[in-house]
Amino acid sequence: MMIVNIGPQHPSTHGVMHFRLHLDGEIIRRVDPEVGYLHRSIEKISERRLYEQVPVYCDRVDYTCAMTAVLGYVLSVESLFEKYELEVPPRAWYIRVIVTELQRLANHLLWLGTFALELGSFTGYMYAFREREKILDLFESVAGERITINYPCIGGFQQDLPEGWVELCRKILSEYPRYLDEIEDLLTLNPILIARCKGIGVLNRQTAIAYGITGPNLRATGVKFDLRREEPWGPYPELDFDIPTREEGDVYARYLVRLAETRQSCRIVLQCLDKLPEGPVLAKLPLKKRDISSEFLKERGIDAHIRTGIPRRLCPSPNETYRRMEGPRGEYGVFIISDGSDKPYRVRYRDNSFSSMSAIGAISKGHKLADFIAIFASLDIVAPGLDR
Amino acid sequence: MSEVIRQALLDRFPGVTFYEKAIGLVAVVPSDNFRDIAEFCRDDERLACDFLHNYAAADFPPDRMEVFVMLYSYRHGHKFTLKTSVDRAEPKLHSLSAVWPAADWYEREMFDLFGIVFAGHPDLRRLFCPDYWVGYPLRKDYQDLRIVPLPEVMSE
Repeated sequence: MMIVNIGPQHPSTHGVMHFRLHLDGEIIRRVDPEVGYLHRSIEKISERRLYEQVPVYCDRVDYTCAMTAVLGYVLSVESLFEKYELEVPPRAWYIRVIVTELQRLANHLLWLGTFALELGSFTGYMYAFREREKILDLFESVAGERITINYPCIGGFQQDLPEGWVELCRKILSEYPRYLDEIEDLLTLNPILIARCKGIGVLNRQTAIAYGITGPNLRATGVKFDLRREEPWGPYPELDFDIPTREEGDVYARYLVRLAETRQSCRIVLQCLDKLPEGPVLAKLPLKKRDISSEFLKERGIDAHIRTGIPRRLCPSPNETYRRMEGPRGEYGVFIISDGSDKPYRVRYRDNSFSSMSAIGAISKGHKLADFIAIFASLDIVAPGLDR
Repeated sequence: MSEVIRQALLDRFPGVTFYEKAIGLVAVVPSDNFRDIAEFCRDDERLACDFLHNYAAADFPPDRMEVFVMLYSYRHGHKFTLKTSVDRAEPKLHSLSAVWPAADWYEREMFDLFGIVFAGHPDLRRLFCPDYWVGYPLRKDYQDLRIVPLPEVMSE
């Protein structure tokens, strides 16, 4: 039995991850993932920041799909309040859906490019990233950032979409299916891809559910479950889209499911762009006046009757919440415990990379070393969601 | 829906209490038969919780830590949370990794960051922190000399 290390520095790992493979010739007998190279203690940091200051850290929880990562936290905080206290305006809900689905598109293109690259197709990588660039340019014009985007905020958005953004978005997305057909021509019926992916890394339904895997990985095993339909938020119930599923559960099925999902995302965004209502994009937040106590001021030698600026902050009443949403990787949810103060008591980010990583030993046992790369690439695991 | 869950749990384990918050229905269970209750949630026909989707802990000094197990059932479409308290001085729980394989890594994470020891876990070692790490970072009284205190802000 030979032990081979993959990583932590390796061009094929999506981020910094370390695997110890126990090999018997070329067959994998055991996989020991070692994680924690990208652990930045975001959960601990979030406990020492105000509710409004945490979203800056949230986009680093999963930097490949930052919009949905921030939105997951924002939806959780908003669920701590009652409906009448915090009502997000309709235009903000539609923009949230647009931004989520664009992020899903960008993430799946990133996944597609790196998946193709790891199997040896540099052209596939370039084609996918060419499309992704257009979406990142859209994000840059709306939020100022391409990757670690901090655009959604509690209550909506701080800034509306810039002028001409809707037309540009529409133009890019109406051309997208043609470019996706081009990528599919290159990859989908490619005999090399099929030989390396069909029948490899089969994940059956019971194993996927038992390991807590969600998202496209689960839909490729035949479970037609999508949180956009089960626990919808915003205008999702009125939008018309399909949920692609496959039965086989192998690497090829996961590839096909993700490609089909990008087409659906395109469809959703075009519907939202047509239905986008006018109006404000930021809700009136239920801020509480925080009076500075007189002892505090006396200690610092400030006259007690002089108010030197009353901070008004978001202080949800003591509550516990877990609001999950369908991120590009699967279930993304933030568990927040609030204690009545202006800082969260406990924040826990639930990401699907963690669950997929815990299952990789079970999926890749008995396969060859070269197949491990294909399996690992198809599961769409990224290090930030894994370690936080 | 929550009536079915409450009834199913109370029939078999009469000591369980419930409350509802923004998270949904929470069943507060004692930590002694934690594993039996979890297995019951997975196997019982009315509950059929095959999906453990989140498993987290929170530190409440000075006396307890709370562990939340969030379950969902694909068959019935219902979800609820199991909550249990462990003693903070010697936090011990029975592992759920035999009930749901998903619990394996979540428990390792909780051992790493909170110090909760899970009896019966196949491979309980630190997940994120290196093996030589001392202390449990997510506890409220974790001291690390490298953390620089924030400058004082005008608040309570």
